[in-house]
Amino acid sequence: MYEIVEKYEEVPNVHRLVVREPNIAAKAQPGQFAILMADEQSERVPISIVDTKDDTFTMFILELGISSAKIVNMKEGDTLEAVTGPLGMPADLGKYGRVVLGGGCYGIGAIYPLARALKELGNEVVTIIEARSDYLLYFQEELKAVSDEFFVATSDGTEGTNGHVQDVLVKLIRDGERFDHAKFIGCTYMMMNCSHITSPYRIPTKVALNTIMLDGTGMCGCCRVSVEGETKFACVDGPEFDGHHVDWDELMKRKSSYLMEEMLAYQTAPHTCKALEKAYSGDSK
Amino acid sequence: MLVINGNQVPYEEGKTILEIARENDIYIPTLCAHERLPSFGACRMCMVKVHGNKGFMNACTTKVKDGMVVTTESLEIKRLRRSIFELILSEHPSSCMMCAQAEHCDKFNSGIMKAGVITGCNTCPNKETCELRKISDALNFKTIRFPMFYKHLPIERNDPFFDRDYNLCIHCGRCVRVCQDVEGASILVFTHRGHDTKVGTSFEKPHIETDCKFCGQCVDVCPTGALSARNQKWYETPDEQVSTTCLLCDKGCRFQIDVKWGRMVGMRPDPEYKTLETGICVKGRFCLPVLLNNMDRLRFPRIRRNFKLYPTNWDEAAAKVAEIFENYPPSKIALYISPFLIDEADYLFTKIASDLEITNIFRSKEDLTNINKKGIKVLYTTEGLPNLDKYKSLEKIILQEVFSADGHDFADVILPAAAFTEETGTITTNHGIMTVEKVVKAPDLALEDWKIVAKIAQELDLSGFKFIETSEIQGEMKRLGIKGKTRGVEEHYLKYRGTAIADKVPDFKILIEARKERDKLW
Repeated sequence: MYEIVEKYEEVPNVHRLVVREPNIAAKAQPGQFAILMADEQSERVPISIVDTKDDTFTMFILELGISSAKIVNMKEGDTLEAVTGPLGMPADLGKYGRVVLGGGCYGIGAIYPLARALKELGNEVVTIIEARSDYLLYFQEELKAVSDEFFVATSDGTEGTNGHVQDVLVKLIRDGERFDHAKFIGCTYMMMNCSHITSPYRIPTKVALNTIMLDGTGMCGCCRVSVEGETKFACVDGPEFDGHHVDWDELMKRKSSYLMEEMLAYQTAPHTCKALEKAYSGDSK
Repeated sequence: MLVINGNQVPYEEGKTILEIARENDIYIPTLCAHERLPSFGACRMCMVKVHGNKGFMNACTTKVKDGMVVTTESLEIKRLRRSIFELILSEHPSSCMMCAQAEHCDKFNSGIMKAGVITGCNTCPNKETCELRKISDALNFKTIRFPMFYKHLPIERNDPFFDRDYNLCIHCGRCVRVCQDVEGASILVFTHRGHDTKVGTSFEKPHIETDCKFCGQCVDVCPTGALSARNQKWYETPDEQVSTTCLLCDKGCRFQIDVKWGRMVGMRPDPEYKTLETGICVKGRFCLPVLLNNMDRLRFPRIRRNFKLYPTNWDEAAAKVAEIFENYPPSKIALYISPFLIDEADYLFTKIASDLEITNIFRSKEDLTNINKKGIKVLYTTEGLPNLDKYKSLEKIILQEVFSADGHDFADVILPAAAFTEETGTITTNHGIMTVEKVVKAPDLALEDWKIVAKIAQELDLSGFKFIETSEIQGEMKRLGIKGKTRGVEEHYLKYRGTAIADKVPDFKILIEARKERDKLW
């Protein structure tokens, strides 16, 4: 039984989730993730571990499909069916010099442990985050505290630069900034775009891929990605890969393998999940 | 005569400028106007210049006058519409419409993000049919001059069947009008006043506690993604749209079904079929895809061997039924014909019965009491068999069903039937004879009811059952002067064949449980 100690909606769609699990809390390193299951029948959802404190660990979970909907519809004090972790390789961390970090969606939270660790190692950290609009930005104070420089981009220009992480990045590079390392976490599209920006400038770039995942221990092979023409497993070889060599088109196609099942799941899901059934039956609002 | 944009168009009394313009293929952007609804003049997108009048007029609420001179397109009008549109979008999560990467993002990203809260077009289930996006294209909208405002209203997900995110609402009032003027229900109203105006139910009660019929018409007319059917979204563009007639009661409602991946994914009242003044009921609008896409459907013929049901092929199953028919005298065999069969299947059942001299044809639950009275030994049922233990005389049960209805576990032969959306034919409704179209393929080996009967007839060496299409059966029925009858299935009937709809549709169960004290469930 894995108790949800704290859960609230940070901004629309993004929920902060604190779960009590002493083993994960003791062992998680920056860049690793945990796999959550809301109930017996739900999908296994891989979620980045953002922070640990005593016997609990924090995640930011984005509601995207029925399985994450089940998790975010749970309340404090509810218990998750299964939590597995920490999984994946820890992120490559070292003393690079000047490091640029980019985060979007759930990546705004997921980039935080990397920023903190890189800062502690003596790097200069430049953090750029993006969102569609100002009301979708969160976790800014915490990120500012571990960054030397901090930039914001919004698609509609309501805060910071009008555009995306890549637009801020291009501007910084054109202004003469030099970066020795880059890390991006967010939606696949954003990570691809940012990798395309850093590639001609030969900035070593790492991206944390969010593939479809099942067991998370390298058994099923759902999370296959092609990196430099070689097949890798995002769960055990990653999630961090060299952004310049990932086959993005293949990755995107693989991610859309289950569009039909994901849609049809909405037809029967409330039936199979107590949390959703409660939310839909008029008990709560 | 009147003049629009310098062209003469015929004058018709009583019509609005918008109606006349539409009839003459003159585009005027609108958001609140809807062909089924009375004019409202809420969005102000349809502003036009009427010469001789000060300022601008609403095309949707201004009636034409003979000799009127109207301009629908000019730089001034364009500027005005742009400003109005920007004001509307400043309170609508529209960042994707302004995003410089939007086109590339659409091309690269596959599929809409199935987010809980809609924060932009890429997380919106209505993206493909959004009327705001269409106008945005027509006005070449790329930037906004006003500060953006997100309302931070809670997402309403506490009702069965639909999700409501009023942060997207543009206050066009279509849902309010369709509820009031078409459905006559007035469940949806404008609540609060001024800047806080919001669409909702009185006292913000969940819809399930109001008299809402869950007809889903508000969802159908919403120009944005504010209202969405929970189990009928995220499929983006359907592969095809097929119109058919509902068979769940005698009303004979027509609907249009969105098909994708070979499944039914979306339902709406047939826009071509104007005789239905109101919407379709909750069963047709929200329950059907969930019911018939269900994993519990019967998929393979099964026959009983060594006290167990084993899957088999059609030849063996039909031979087994023929064997049972041959081993019992016709007076001890009964057919239970479901009212949910199409007319052709119904006819073939009566035909095979007369050929085999079976006179025990049951058409309702009350008829089943005859089993004990007449000492029936074989029952061929197309609607399950409730209270099986009451019927001591039965020796063999043949179950032809869509779901594993009552009696499934005791049957000797299971014949998986196609649902009415998986076959072509006709049904007799209160509107007369109507056609049923094949929308999707039946799951695995499931077959149309009439084809199953024909197969069994062939095993019994009966002649006159070699049909390829239902049109041939219709021809025979016409020649013999046989007409289908309405089945007497009332609108609020809660079953499809032998299965309670609520057993297969969780949201429907929530609805009828919550309203079991009421006379009318919807």
